[in-house]
Order: sequence, then structure tokens, then C-alpha cells
Amino acid sequence: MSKIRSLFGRVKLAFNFWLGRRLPSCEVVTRMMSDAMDRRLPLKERIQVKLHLMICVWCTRYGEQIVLVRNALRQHPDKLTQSDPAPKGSDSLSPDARDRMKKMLGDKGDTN
Amino acid sequence: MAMKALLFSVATGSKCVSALGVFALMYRQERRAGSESLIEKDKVTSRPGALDPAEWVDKHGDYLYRFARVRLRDDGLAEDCVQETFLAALKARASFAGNSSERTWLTGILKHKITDAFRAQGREKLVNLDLEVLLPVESADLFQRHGEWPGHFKAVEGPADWSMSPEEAYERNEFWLALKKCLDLLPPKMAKAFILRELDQVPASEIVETLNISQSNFWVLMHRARAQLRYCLERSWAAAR
Repeated sequence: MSKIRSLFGRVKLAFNFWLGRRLPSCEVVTRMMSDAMDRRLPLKERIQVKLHLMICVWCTRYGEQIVLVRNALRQHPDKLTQSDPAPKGSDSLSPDARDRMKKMLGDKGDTN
Repeated sequence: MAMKALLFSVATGSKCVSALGVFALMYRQERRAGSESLIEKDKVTSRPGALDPAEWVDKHGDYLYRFARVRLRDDGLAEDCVQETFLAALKARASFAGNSSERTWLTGILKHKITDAFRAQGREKLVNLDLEVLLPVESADLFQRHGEWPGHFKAVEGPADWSMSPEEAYERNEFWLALKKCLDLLPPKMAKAFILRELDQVPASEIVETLNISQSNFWVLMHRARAQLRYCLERSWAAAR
């Protein structure tokens, strides 16, 4: 850890320690941040999360990263389907199934 | 811009300005509708309104299959769903209004079939979730268990800086490959809840009903899913760069 020399740095560090002791831990805050994406948190929890994020770089990153994942799926729903790492054949219908469905559609289509 | 104008007009309360704001809003919506119809025109390859069931398999089969496979993560089940979709579409083709493209229409039907499949699976195994089992091992290792700061991130294991804006990340193919791989690694129930919620944006109340789980179980599931995905992405994608 780098040495903190300035008075301001020391005071800030002491304040962060003091505040960190009184706030829920990272484990709880990560849980709350996830919950906040699906429901409205009570006021007390919202304040706790805000204060915790003020002093905790890890939880700040954590929050940004889970939002990144959420937005990835929400804003580009097709990209997941399009990027094809799967071996050939597993990303398209098998020939059997293709013939079966064609036959089915053909039969029913004619009678209608 | 329209929103701003509207807000401003509300703030000032002047009728003239508020009328301006409303016009701006209308103009914007009109423009948006126009651009949507343009996109729609591009998508429709045959003439709109005319359905050709014989060509569905060739035209949309693979797309629908991939759509189902990403969500169901089961090749056989995905095939069944696509077949059922075609059947249902054939029966209901009289009701096809022609105001959306064929593919959009078929995808809509497929979504319902996928939800049905999820529901059927949920009914088969009516077990309450064992939350202890769902605890991701990796995530438990992330936090300090002893010492001065129990429950806080371990200094070495804390979330790393990905040093990339979301937009940049979305541009990269590796990101999507990693995300797909990580989604496949999730336990089935977790993946279902997460995919329904984020990919299809189904309201939480409906997911709870579909998967037959309790409200708080759902929140825990989502938390675990996000924690595991984030960790998996960091390890497989962010660290590899």
C-alpha cells in the first residue's frame, strides 16, 4: 500500500474507516445493488448503498460491471445469437429436423 | 429534446411554450414511426401480408433455432419449440395482420413456446431452492471471512478495473463469446431467470410465476447470476486482454 503523507489523506482515510465500520459490508451491498435493479429499495438501504459506494472502489466497479452486463443483453439482444463460437452445425437446424418440418408444413399447407 | 421542451413548458406554465413542446414531441414521434417503418421494409423480403409456409424453414428456421437455443440451452428442446412454433403459426396464419414482418411474427409465437417450455420444466421439479447450494464458490472466496473487515472484498480479489467503456466492450466479439460461455456455465434455473429477465425483459412477477419460485428466491437467484457472470467475465475476458 502506498504511503499516505498529506494531512488530508490521513483524515480521509480515517473517515473512510470510521464510515466503513458503520455501513453494511461489501457482501451485503453487492446484494442490495443487484436487488435495486429489480425492485425499489427502502430509503435506508438506498442511503447505505450510496454511502458505501462513496468510500469503496470495489463495489463501485462491481456496480458498473453488472450494469454493463445488463445493458449488453438489453441493448444488443441479437448479438448473443449472432456471435457464433459453437462448432459448425450446432447453430443451425439439423437436416433431419429441417426435412421433418418442411414435410409437415407442406402437408398441412396443401390441405388448408 | 422534446422532453426538455415539455419540462420547460411545465416549469414556466406558459401556454405558448407548452404548445411548442407538444408539437416538438409529436414531430419526434412521427419521425421515429417513419424510421421504424423504413427498417421494417428492409426486413420484409417478400411482399407484406403474404405468408409462404413452405419457405419458412429455409428463411427463418435457423434464426428461430438459434433464438430458442440461446434461451433454452438444449438442442432437442429448441428444435421442438421451433417445430411447435411452425405448427401454431400454420394454424393461426389467417390471423396474421401483416403489419409486422413474418420473422417478427414467428419470433413472437416462439417466445410463447419457450415460456411454455420453461413452465413445463418448472412443474416437473417442484423443489424449493436450496440457497446454500447455490452459493457460488468463487464468490464466497471473494470476501474476507476473518479479521478486521469480515464481509468486505479481499484486497487481491476485489473487482478489477476493466478499463473499457461499455460501448467499446460491446464492439468486441470476444466479449460476446465470453458472455455466451459464462451464461452456459450458470446453473439451469439461474440461467433461466437471468435470461428471461435481461434478454427478454419479462417483468419479475411473471418470471416468478413461470419458474414457480418465491419472490425472494428470485432476487437471490438474480444476485447469484450477476455475481457469477461478472466474476466469470472478469476471469475469462477482462483478464485475458
